Amino acid sequence: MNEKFLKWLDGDDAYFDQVLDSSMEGVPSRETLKAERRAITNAIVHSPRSRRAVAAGSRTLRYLYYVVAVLSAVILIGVLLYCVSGLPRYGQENVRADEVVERYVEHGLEETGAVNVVAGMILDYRAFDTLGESHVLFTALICVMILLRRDRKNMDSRLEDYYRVVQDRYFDTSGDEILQGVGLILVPCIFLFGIYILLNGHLSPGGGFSGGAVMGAGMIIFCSACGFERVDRFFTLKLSSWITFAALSFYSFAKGYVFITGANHLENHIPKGTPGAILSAGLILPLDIAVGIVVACTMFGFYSLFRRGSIGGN
Amino acid sequence: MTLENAYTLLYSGALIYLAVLMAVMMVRSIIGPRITDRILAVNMISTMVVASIVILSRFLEEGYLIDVALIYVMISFVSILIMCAVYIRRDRPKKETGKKKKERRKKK
Amino acid sequence: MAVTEIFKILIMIVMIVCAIATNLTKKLLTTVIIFMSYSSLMCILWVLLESPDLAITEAAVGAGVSTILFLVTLKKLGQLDERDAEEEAGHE
Repeated sequence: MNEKFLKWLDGDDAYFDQVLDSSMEGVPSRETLKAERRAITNAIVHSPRSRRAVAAGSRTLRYLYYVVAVLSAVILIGVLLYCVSGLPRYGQENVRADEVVERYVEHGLEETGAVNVVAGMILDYRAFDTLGESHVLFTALICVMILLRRDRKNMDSRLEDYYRVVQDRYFDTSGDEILQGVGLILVPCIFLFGIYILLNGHLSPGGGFSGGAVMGAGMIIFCSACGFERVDRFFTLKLSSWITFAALSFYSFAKGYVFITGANHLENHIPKGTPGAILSAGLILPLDIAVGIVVACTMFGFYSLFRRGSIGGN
Repeated sequence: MTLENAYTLLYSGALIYLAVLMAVMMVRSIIGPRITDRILAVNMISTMVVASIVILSRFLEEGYLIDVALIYVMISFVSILIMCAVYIRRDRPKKETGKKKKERRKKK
Repeated sequence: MAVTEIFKILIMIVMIVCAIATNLTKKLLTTVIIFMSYSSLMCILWVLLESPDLAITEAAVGAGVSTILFLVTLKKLGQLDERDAEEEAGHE
């Protein structure tokens, strides 16, 4: 037993493959997997229909595409370099930035009501940037969905069946006893901790992005430990898209109201509370929750799309 | 030698020692001919990172850095387990948890 | 020199070695594993620069999400194992 274990450890898979192939029922061996994949690729990529589609693209359009791509890249680089050249040199004192920094540090607590000045900055003084950032996350999820989704429309059904049934089962980690035991104990703790970081964004370090990242990591770990069937019970495409949409629109409308009243020198009656209490700092707590939800759904959406090509299962 | 100086010496010695050990583990993770060597080396590096963060939280007298250490321990532990489970591919019959177990018990 | 300075310099040297090594290795799985350790050293640096928000995010994203996403990508590309990588290279 010892020698065989050492041989496997050194990379000699022959003994291990025998055990592996005989104990996996219903899953074909490595050679059949490779042969099948090669056959499917040949049938799809080298078929006459796809050959005709590749040859039919006109040449002038392709050259035009290259020229326009290079030109737009050069223009973008030029514009950005011109903007950067207006900044002061590295290491010099910047009087304008110092004024802003002093204002944030000294009057941050009384103007925003948040003990954590960083959270007050990103969600109160510069909330517009955070709005754009959450929308960028949502856009990234949409782009990954366009590229990686396994549909009847953008993937041949043979390839889809091959990936869904055979390859995913081969690399599945969900039945592992150690992983499942540890996961079922630790995942509630990770979720609880993520919610704690989210809710305490204005009092102690943390906030929306950190809490959302921790919750997303917790979801990924739960999915790896317990398989996709248990996750599909509560995380479907409909739920995910509705709550991301709700969170982003809540953020937009609430901050839109604050911007409009602030720009016209009106009073927006959002209470600031006492600094240090959990229900304080105006709108920072609800906005933290919205941003955290978007980040968590995005992280788990990425993982689900990478693994099996769809968010809610089919 | 006052008590504060002794504490500073202890913390600084521990931090530098941990940094040197991290460098050694990094060398092992680059050299090691097998994948399992590298997975072990990364596990040890993450343990030493957690120890450094806890020592730093006492050294700089900031209490909230313990939160960082907690998160790091939980997530990196399970992440290394997932790496090992992906690398060791064997048949794993799914353990019945939750509803299916209850149904089985009721049938019996 | 204060202790934190020596510690910072040591960690930065290890990080530079790590970053160079990700380029020079031949297998892609090694690169992913070294990337995970790079992310954990970055976490210490954020703590030393007194920004715990970034340290928490770096810990969660670097150790959890980013590493696992890279592993799943490698699985799709067929580079997860030495034999698979040779077969992929032999294909083309």
